[in-house]
Formats: sequence, C-alpha cells, structure tokens
Amino acid sequence: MAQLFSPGFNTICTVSLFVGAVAPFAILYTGSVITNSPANTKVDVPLEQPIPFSHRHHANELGIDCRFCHTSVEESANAGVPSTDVCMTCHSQIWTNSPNLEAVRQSWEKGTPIQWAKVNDVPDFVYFNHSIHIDRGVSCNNCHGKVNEMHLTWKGNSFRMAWCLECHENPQKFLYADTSGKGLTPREQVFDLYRKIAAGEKLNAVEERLAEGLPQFAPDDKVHKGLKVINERGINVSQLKDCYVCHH
Amino acid sequence: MSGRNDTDQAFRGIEHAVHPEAFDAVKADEFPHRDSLNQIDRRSLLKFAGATAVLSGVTAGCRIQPPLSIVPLVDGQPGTVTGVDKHFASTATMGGYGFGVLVRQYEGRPVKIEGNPKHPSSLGSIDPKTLAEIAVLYDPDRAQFPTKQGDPGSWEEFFRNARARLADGGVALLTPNVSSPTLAALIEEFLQASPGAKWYQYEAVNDDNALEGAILAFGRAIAVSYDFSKADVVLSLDSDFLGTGPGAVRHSRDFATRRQADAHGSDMCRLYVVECAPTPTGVVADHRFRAKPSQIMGVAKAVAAGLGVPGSAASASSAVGGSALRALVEDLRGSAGRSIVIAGQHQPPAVHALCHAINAHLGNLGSAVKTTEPVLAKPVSNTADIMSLAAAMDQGKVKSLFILGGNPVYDAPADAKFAERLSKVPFSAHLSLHHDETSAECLWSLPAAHFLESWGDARAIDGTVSPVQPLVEPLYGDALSPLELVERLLGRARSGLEAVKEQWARTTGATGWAFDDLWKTALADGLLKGTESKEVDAQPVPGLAGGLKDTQGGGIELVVLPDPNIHDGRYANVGWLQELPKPVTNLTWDNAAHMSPETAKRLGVGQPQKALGIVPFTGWADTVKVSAQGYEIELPVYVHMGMADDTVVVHMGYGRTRAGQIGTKGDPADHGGGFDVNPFRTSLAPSIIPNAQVAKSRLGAYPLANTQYHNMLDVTVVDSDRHLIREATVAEFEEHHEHAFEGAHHGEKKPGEPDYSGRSIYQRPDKFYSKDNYQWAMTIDLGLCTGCNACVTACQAENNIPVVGKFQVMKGREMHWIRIDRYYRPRKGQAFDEKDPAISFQPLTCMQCELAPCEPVCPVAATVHSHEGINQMVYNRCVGTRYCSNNCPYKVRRFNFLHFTRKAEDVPVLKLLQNPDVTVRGRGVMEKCTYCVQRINHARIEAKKENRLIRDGEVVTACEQACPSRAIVFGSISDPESRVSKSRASKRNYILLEETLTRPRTSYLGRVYNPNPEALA
Repeated sequence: MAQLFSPGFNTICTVSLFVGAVAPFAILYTGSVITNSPANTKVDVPLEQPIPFSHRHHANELGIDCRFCHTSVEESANAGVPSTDVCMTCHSQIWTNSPNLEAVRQSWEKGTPIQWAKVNDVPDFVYFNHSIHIDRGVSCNNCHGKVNEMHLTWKGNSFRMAWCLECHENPQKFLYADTSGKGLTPREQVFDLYRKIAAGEKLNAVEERLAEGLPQFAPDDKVHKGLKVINERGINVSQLKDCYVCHH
Repeated sequence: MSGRNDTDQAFRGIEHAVHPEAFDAVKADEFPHRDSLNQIDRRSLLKFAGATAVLSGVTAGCRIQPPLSIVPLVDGQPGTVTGVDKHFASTATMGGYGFGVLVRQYEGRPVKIEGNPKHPSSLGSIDPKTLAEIAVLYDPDRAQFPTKQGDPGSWEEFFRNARARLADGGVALLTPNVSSPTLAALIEEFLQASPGAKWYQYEAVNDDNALEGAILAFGRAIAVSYDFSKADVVLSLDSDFLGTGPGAVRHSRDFATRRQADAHGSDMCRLYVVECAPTPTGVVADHRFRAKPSQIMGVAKAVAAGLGVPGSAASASSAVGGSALRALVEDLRGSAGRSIVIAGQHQPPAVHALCHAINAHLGNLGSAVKTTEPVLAKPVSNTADIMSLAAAMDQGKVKSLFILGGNPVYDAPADAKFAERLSKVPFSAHLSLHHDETSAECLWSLPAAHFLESWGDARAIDGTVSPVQPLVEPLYGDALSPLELVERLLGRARSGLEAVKEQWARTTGATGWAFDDLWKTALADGLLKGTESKEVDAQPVPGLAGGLKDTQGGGIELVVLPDPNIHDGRYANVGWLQELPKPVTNLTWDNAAHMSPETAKRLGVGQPQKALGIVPFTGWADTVKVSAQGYEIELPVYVHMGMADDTVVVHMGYGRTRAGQIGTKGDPADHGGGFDVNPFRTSLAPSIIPNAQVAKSRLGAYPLANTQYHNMLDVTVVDSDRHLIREATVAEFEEHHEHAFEGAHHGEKKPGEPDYSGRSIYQRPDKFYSKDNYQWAMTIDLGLCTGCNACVTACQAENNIPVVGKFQVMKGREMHWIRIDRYYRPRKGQAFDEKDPAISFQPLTCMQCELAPCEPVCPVAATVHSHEGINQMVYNRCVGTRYCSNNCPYKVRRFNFLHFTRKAEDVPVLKLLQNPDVTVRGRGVMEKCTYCVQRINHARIEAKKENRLIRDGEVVTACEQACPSRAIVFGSISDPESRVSKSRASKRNYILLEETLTRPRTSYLGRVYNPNPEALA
C-alpha cells in the first residue's frame, strides 16, 4: 500500500497544531481590536453635522464660556444643547449671510428645530448626571476629549463602563486643588481652566494633563494630594462604585 | 408542623385553612408547572436547548447603534431646564368632588400624579384610582376626533347642527355630578339661553342615599362630613369610609392619627364595624360584626334605642346583640360628643337619617360630625334625575340631548331603559374620553379632553374650590373639555382658562393685580383659600327616629357595589387597575359573586377541596346563576370568609362591550373583563336587591386570576409563635411592653426551640455598613395599613412596572414590586372560625436584607449590595437564571418571563407614560423593589451640590408618599434622630422571618388594636 502521507505532512501537522492552538485567541483578539477601534466606538471620528459648528473657534479662539450654550450643565443631568435663539443672539448680527449658517436661519424663520447628530451617548440604563460631576470639579475635557481643539466635534472617549470606573474607583487621579490662590470652588475651577486656555495663560503640568483629558501623572506625592482633595470635598469613594449610583 | 393546631396560625385563604396538609404539598412544589415539564421528552428538550443556544447567539450581543440626533428647542423659554422635572398642582374629580394633586412634569409631559400636601382632600397622599388617571391620559384607545354615526365628522359640522337644534327647544343636558362653580355657572347660563332646557346629573356611584338621608333628617340638602381625628369611638354601619368614596384618603389620614399605638396607647380610638362583606375598614376594626345589608337598619335601631334617641324603638331582632351591643352602646354613650356613627354609601336613606339622629343625640354634630352647605353645585338624586330624563325621552319631549361625560347606556338603572329611549332622541351627542357604549348609541361621539389637558375647577369634599390646571396640550388636537363645549354651544369661544378666570373674578370680587396675585397663589397651592363650605347649625327633625322604615330584605340579598379598582367601569381600560389585586379578595381582571363559606356550601359551589389542586396558579372557580329583577347572569363564585350568610356581593364596572383593548370583555382565560351586573340595578333598588335567586350553574368552572396564593412565604418551618403577623391588644401591649410582639411566649424560649442566635451562612463584615454612609431602612406599621393598594399603584407608576394580563397573572407572573398579603387568623382566644376570622394585611416588598440570600447565588453578580445597605439589582447584567428568586425567603423578586414592556416601546403614546428616571426592563430580566433609588440619587446629588447631608424626609419612596395613613416610613438609620430610626426603636418593631438571619432593612411594627373588654366578655 502506498504511503498516504508524504514527509511534508509532518510540518503541516505541526503548524496546524500551533495555528489551531493560537487561532481562537487570535480570533478573539481580532474581534476585540475591531470592537475597540474607532470604527465601532466612533471615538475620534468627527460626525457630519447640519451646521459645521466649531468648538475650537467659539470656545478657544473667541473665548465663549462653555455655559453660554450648555446652560443647564450645572443644574441638570443634561448639559443642554442650545436652542436656535442662542445661536441667533450673535448670528442675527454677525455672519448673517454665511452659507454655513443657512440651517440656523432656516430653523429660526420656520420654527423647525435643528437636528444635530448626537456625538456622545450612554445607553438608556445609565443615568449620568452632568451637574454633580461639574460640582465635584471633574473637567469637561476629562470625558469629552479636547473639545476646545475640535473643529467638528468627535467623541473623546468610549463611554464604556470600564472607562467610567477608572475615575469612580480612583477619583484622586482626576481631581486636583487649584493652586492659584483665588479660592476657586471645584465648580469654578472647571471653567477657569478653559478661560485660562482661551486667554493664553500658562498652565501648570496638572492643568495641562486635564486639558488633554488625561489623568494626572501619579507619583506618590500627587496621589497623596489627590486623596487630600477627596477628603476635603467629602467624596465617598466606596459609594461611588455602587451599581445604583448609575443604574436604576 | 407544630404550629398547625396552634390558635395563632395564620392562613392565606380558605383552602389553606380547610386543608393545610394539601396546601403545604402544593406550596412545596418547586415546579408548579410540572405537568408541562413532564410532557417534554428527551429529544424535544435537546431540540429546545439547541434552538435556545442558536437564537441567543443570533439575537444577543452584536448590534450596531443607529445614529441618534439631538433636537433642541427653537425658541428656548426662560426658566426651562432640560432634564429637571417640575410639579404643578391640579385637581382630579371623582363623583363630582375635587381631589387635589401634584403632577410631576418632565420635559413638557406629565409622568406621575401625586397627592398635594396642601390640599384638604389629599394632604399629600393619594388613592389608586387618582394615580391611574395618568394612564387614562395616555390610553391609546381614547377617542381622537368627532364621529357622526361612526363616520369621522368635524366640530364645525357638529356645532352647526347643534346650534340649529337648540332653537327647536326640547334640549336636555346630562352630566356627571358637578361641583365646579365655573361649569355650573355656564350650565345655568346655557339653560337660560335655551328656553325649556333641562339639566340632569347622573353617575352610577352616587351620593343619593346620603343626600336623601340628610333631607329626611334635616329637612333640606345638607352635606355631612366626618372628622375621624376627633372621634374616640366610631361605629360604621356597612360604611367602608377608609376604602371607598371621595373622602377615603382624608378619612384614612385622620383615622391614623388616632391609631398611633406608641404615642397614644389606650388613648387610641375604637372602631366598631357592622358590614356584609369584609372591607378595608372592617379589617382594621377593633370589633367586626357580620350582618346582611337589610339587617343594618335593625342594628342602627337597636343602637338608637339603647342610647335612648327620642322616638326610637328597637326592631324585633338585631344582628348585633347581647353583651356586644350593650358594650357598644355604653362606649358610644361614654364618648358622647367625641364619636361618629356613619352609614354606608349603599345603605338606604333611612339608615343615614337614623345615623344623623344618633349623632345629634350624642352631641357629635359640630365636633366630629360637621354639617355644611352642600358642596355640589346642585345636589340632586342621581337616580331620580336619570329616571325623569328617561321618562322625558320616552314621551318624546327631548329633541336634543347633550351628554357631557359618563356612560349612562352602560350604567343607568335597568328600568330607565336608557339605550332604548335614547334612540327616540333625534339629536344626541356624547362627549367622552372613550368611544364607549353610550357614544355608540348617540348620533355624535365627541372626544373629551382629560383633566390634565384642560382648565377648569372643582370643589373638594370640604368645599374648597380647587383649580384644574392642564399639564399638556390635548394629545388629540380636537378634544374639548365639558366647559369648552358648553361655552361653544352658547356661541362663544372663550377658552377654559378665560372662563375659569372670569368666574373666579366674579365670585371673589378681586380685580387687576389683586386677582393676578390670588390666581397665581391658587395655582401654586392647588386651592383657593377660605372657600370651604359654610358650616350650618342643623338639627334633626323631631321624632325622626320613630318614623323610619326597615330596609326591605329577605332571602339571598344581592348587593351591587362599586368596584374598588375600576369604580363604575370608567377605569375598565386601565391595565394598572384591572391587574391590581382588589383589597381583601386579591382578585384581578374580573368580578365575581362573593359569598360566605356557609352560603357556598349550601349552594354546593366553591368547595375548597376541589379547587385546591390547581388553585395557586389558575384558581378555577365554580359558577352560579344569579337571577333578580328579571335579569339573570352566570358568575364565578368567590368564597369570602367573613361575609354575612345569605348575601351575595357583586361589583359593577365589568362586562363592558366598548371599553377598549383592555376593558372590553374578552376570552375568559386570556382576558377576563368580568360580568355586567348593572341590569340588576333598578331605580327602586339600586344597590341592595332582596330575594335574589342563586343556584349552581351548569356553565362549569371559570378561571379567576387571584394573586392570594402567589409568592407565598414558607412558614411551615417556622414555629407558630414567630408568626408573620404580630398583633396585641392595648391591654397586652401596656402590660408586656416589648414582649408583646415577640410571640405567644413573650420572649421565653420554648423547650426544643432551635437557637437562632448563631451566625448566618451569608456573611458580610459589619463595617461594610458604615455609619459614615446613609443606611437606608423602612418600617411598615401594620396597625395603620388599611390595605388600600395606593402603594402598589404608586410603585407601578414610579417604577415603570408592566401589566402582564390575566393569563400571565394566573401563572403567577404579575410584576408588582410591592404586594399586600392577606392573612386569616383566629379571633383572639378562639379557635379558627371560617365564618368570621380575623383578617390582617401585610404589605411586602424587597426587604433589602443586609445578608441577602439572593446575592451569593447569582452567577453573574447581577444582584449585589450597595454601601448604603440596598440590595442592588443590575438589569443589564442579569441573565435570568432566577436563582435569586428561588433563594429569596420573602418571594419579592419578579421575573420578566416575556417582553411585557413591548407595548411601552412600540406604542408611541405609551412611551410618554414611562418614568424617564427608571429603566424599562425587557424579557429575561429579574427585577424588584429598589427603595426608589432614583429618588435617593436625586436627593443625594442635590444635597452634594449644596454641600450638606440629605435631610431626613427628603427622600420619600413612592409607596410612602402615596400611603393615606402614613404607615410607611423611610429614611437613613445612620442618623439616630431620623423618623425611621425612631420608628425602628418602637417596642412594636419586629422582623419578618427573623430566624433566617437575613437582617432585613424593612421591618414591621406590630398591630395594636383596641377591643372593648366588655364586648369580648
């Protein structure tokens, strides 16, 4: 009887064994890379909007406070997206013929709302509240990315639970006490940062990290400072991790 | 089974009491649906398992999020903050009387109705029916545009035709009872503008008897109201004053102020109830006597004679006699001036009149019993009114009839022959929320605006004028309120707002800024101050008691009562109320013929042993044929322990033919819908019908969805002295203090009793519950609970709890997070008597055990503990193993066996009904009470923003907020001064199933009641 398997099959078998062992992991890994990539999460992907609104221009170059448009960010769960009349506060006077603003004028004349594409979204079973985060001194960019640098807005972070927990488990990494000596409350501190940036004032290292939307570097002394902030502000870290804080 | 023969055993129902062993066997069955499990063979099992695996792979997980958009306003209103809710005061009406409410509005839509703390009829509490008005607003079956003989019509066409008709004369207006000053004034104006026009008022559930009783007693229409906070002794003659009627919420609150055992002790008031069937009032009574409805007059006469009311003479026999009667009379005499004798709404006028005579004799008038000018604009006997309208229609005198609300074709007395006579009216129009039975018989059916969509006013039970304020524009643009309709019939086009403002300006005499001020204050408060009805000094006609006739009785007496949930049928299309277990009986979705065990036995129906095998889940009931007044119908039987013999109670409101998807009578197994008992009611005997023929029917069994045997606590392992319901008399409480509620042995260990002091198998370090955090807890005072169900409906509204339907309820799948268990127990010192047991209520919700048995068995950590002592249920983690529910000793977890919330997701108008702060759960997810954590979080965030701690009483759970008698107290036990800490320190505090060592955060306060030692002798 002739040989069924040539010597080459040894190699094929060995390789198949290794490939077979690795393949499931490779598939899982590939899957996770795809689901975590911007193709799926839409992080860093600017969305098409009816009006090419630029945060960079309005917040950074013109120095308009975040709260001018996002009026309810300090008192409500929702930050609030401005109604057309807020746009028309200025744009009934300036850039009145700009083709970019045609949709705003149409909305104002016809009374039909502008339909913005939603950039940041959490699932319906998550109850996120802007006002308390601002009140505790969590900076806008920590979650939303460098909004003050964005022309068209994109999502700065994935808004996945593991990402939320980075701060809910270790808030000391994201909170800092203002050192300017102006006695700012945590809430004022949040908006003072963007004022400084717009005004071109020099930022310290911590502020620069926060403006980037990144946690502080965490050498021991800084973490210690962070913990001090947590004690001062009476933040109850154990309770921050309770499921019911966000899910009801 | 040591407790079986113990006199303190509590039974869940008659089947349990009669056959405890068989009952235990049913209860111990882990798979009550075993029949169907056995039918599956191995191959099918594999097939299903495979299909499940494949389908879960296909449907679960990967979904691509569709693009979402944000749609801001065009012209933002100053002061509107998205995502923050507001409350507005408004007024609901029931039977014409206004009930002050606060309506929570979220981004322009009303989402929940709550009590108005400033309003005298509510004091911040609410009843299930008013709570469910929000579901009426968002009912997808509401009438949406005018129709003429079923074809779409227009308002223009209607008003053109109607105005032409008005000139012809023969105009009649039929409304429900009206207390609204504005509507009454407009109707008056309308009557003057159309010569010969007549105004009739009719509601099936009305105050006719009270009105005629007052006329009999005082010679004129006088409103009589009761202040239970001032009464030391109360005698109720078939009156369910805590459970039914427009004053029930206020009565419950006032009554509860006199039942505070810890504060008052022997100062508690004493309640005697004589009634034909157990009601919430009867359940909380200190002494409860059974009497046929016709015998009530005899009891009243005996009491009057005992007290020496002038002219009174005792009847030959009284259902309450001997030492009990003597003690009762002495008690009333001893509390002269501080007592109340009150007659039931369905009792004939003579009983009401005699009660007034007794109250006057005792000097109660002017103190606990108040006589005032009538609250209704034109108090008339509704029955007399509908009969004279029917006669006028029959004689062809009515050429055009405008029916503003109500449903007379369905609920008018049988001898009015309303539908038949309506066909003789050439022009008829019905303004209604639904296209119902009456709309179908009228030429025009017109869509009415809900009270949350329209301006108006109403007067509360004490006469306070209260504004009806809309929370939203009419959902269906064409809807008009009765006010606006009359306004347009008058040829004007004032809005409801203008009409009310002008009327108020006229009556108050205020103008300009002063009126603006008054108006704004009234809207903010929900009432116009100082408009209570004037008290009048009324004295009964001399010699009144002598001339009062006995109630006609005899044979089996049929009593037709308003349904505790769906009232006269107006709430038949509200799933919340259909599925709400009725107080005491725990029936859902149907009405039934209630009768005592003795009567049932005699008729050969409702044998418990027959029902037992399947009762926990299907509850098939025997049927009887009831005939009276030339009408007969076959009804399922509900055997009701504690009822008077030879009495059959049925509830109206069922058997609707045009109520909507939910309310219209359907397939009995699937839908329910009950039986129409209105044809029994005639103008002469609208509620008590003597000599009814009742016989076993050949129809066979009918499925009744009863929740009484669902979610049973396993007490078979528990010694009887650690029973679930703990009660003591005032004397026992004062003598034994803290031991009175530790069971029959007053804290002493019985020989052989296991030692429960060991550590639990469920462990968690105590430091987990640090006092640095809030530690939430709740107490439920069983001495105050009247089983009214307000908490159940409030929870349903707050927490987006779905309605599952009759078929699913029969499988034990109802979703209520809080339920009210009912237990039957022997009367003190007596053996269990199925004729007249003591009845107890126990509201049960997630106990939030510190050492929760549900948590260690969850394979995916979907239920875990919070640092504030709440057992958290994380829906998005839950995979639906149901282990947690299996391991829960209190059986308070609910599982979404099917996608019960599908309609809330698919029907646009039902989306509006959902509370935006609570996740809408889908299929395969376990859920349970969360202590209204959304409210805790809201309060916590607000407190943190203001840099303070949450104040005691700042977080109020939905059930606590609704409770009319304030039986529920919620708060943090980290604060030793909080209300709940103090409540838990009460000597009455006890823990349910304490021996399971679960350390629940919800505890109960044992009931203290105040029987008369003389009456027990």
